[in-house]
Amino acid sequence: MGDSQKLLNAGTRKSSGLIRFRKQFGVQLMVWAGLSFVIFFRYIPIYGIQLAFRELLPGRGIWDSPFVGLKHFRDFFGSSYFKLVMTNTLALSFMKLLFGFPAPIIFALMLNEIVSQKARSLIQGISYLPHFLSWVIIYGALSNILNRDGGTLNSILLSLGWIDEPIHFLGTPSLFWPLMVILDIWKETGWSAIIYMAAMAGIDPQLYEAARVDGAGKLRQIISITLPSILPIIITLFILRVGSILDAGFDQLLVFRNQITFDKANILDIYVMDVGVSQGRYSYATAVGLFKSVIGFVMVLTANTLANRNDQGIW
Amino acid sequence: MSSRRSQIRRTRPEAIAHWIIVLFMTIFCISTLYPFINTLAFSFNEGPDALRGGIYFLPRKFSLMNYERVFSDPTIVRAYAITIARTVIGVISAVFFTGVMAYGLSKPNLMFRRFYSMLCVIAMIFNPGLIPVYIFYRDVHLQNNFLVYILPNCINIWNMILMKTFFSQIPAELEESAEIDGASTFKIFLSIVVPVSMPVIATISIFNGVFQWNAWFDAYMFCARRTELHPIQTYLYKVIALSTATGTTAAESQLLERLKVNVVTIRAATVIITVIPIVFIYSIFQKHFIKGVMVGSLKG
Repeated sequence: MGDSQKLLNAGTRKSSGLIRFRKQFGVQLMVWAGLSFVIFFRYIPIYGIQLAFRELLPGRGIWDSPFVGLKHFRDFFGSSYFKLVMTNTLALSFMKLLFGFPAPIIFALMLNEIVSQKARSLIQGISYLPHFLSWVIIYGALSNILNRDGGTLNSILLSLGWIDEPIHFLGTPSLFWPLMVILDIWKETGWSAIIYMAAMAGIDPQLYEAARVDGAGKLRQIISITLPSILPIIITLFILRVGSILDAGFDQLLVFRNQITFDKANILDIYVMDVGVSQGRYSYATAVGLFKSVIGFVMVLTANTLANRNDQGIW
Repeated sequence: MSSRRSQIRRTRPEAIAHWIIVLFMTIFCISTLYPFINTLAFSFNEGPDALRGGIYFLPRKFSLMNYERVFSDPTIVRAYAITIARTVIGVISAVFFTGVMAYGLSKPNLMFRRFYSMLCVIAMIFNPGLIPVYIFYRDVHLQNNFLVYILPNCINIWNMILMKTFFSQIPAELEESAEIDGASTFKIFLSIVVPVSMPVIATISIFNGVFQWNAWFDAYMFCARRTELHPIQTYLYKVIALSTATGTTAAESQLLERLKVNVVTIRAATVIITVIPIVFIYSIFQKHFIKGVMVGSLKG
């Protein structure tokens, strides 16, 4: 990007910043055309956070409502919901991490062993279709299959003799978490595998050649060549994934929850919505949301700093 | 890698592993496609008959009634029109503002560049939370307003960084001659940068298009009182939420009553008409946006 910029800079380097600014006024204007959206929609709403420390009174605005300090935080930490919501959030998120994180790596490794190029791109093409569909659509397409009465899954399990009675998949609290984890993996594995596939495509084929000459089998090649080559990416993505551990899948749970599985689906984000918007307890819900935002912020920041040690951070 | 594939000699366990992989992949692909085949079968089945279940690949009692119902339901048709409107307007505005901002930030001699980048990064990782945003939208009259689908989504920082990375890889010589001619920055952007940036523009368009097409929560949350502004996905969500709950308001009970008889098959037909445009666009542009995702690293 050298010459054109030098041209733009020519003669201005020694002059004051104001003149330089005026010279690049057009570029600045373009940046601000977009930046104003960022400031308006991501920064200005922050003023509402003060609600977490106030008690919003009916008929009064935010600024007129009295300060109550940390009352809402104490209420949240002291309530029975704190334990329930945190358990739900962390348990679901942890299970999604534990099973969902290795899934695309294994998928990519397996896909890499499919010899036919055509078959590979066909499988890949099919595998990331669900990523582009909303959970609403996925629920609509799956609810008939998971149905207790004549749903495909029950029919298969019954005819195989694995179960004696049809299972109410969407209406059994103990099945809710496993189901959410499996569906999350099913939806995102193909898409997440792309980055690993790209990394594997970049491995020098001569490495495999040499390994084969030395008599290494497929498994040996995977362990000694493929995995070490993609390890930096694995570590980075893992760190960043851990950084968002408090995101347990808001819209998925919102769509799949029902009255029977309600308590199992009550994660932080859903709790904020239910308490804040449905029950109108704005101040309290803002405090709960702020608790999540601050922890999330710190965790992502830490995660990125760690990833940067790999030279793999996002910024 | 191709040389690795050219000579395949497998040991016995490797051959077994290979067939396990092939079997797994086959099952995986079927499990991905089957829900939509099944939904298609339901959508062409007669409503009351479908309640018995047991429909797999093909409809049992073929009927076009579900689609007739869907296309003659003014609520659904309207919701579909809203979805199309928000997708078209959303994509155009997002690509425009994202592109303009990304181009500005791609200039290495830009003043305050680090400051701008920092603003973007913080905005990306700090979430003010649902309630402050809810109150903010109310204060600026974006609630129950179509613009709430468009304006907050004009800039997506991830997409902006993706575009910025692409722009900064364009050879500077391209822009030089126009600069000498005294063309304005914006004109250079439109006439020189945009034409060579079609791959990334297509990628960002598809990302925004899919996002807009799939979005339902913003309408549900921020346009609660003006249901005529709800897109098809929000309508579907309400149908789903209602079919598992009892109607609480009069309007909800009415909707529930109307849907009850053929809820399963009509829902299936609605899912199909909502999915088809995505599958269509997806199968055309698939290869394209994979390349787009891989454009450079994400590092800003």
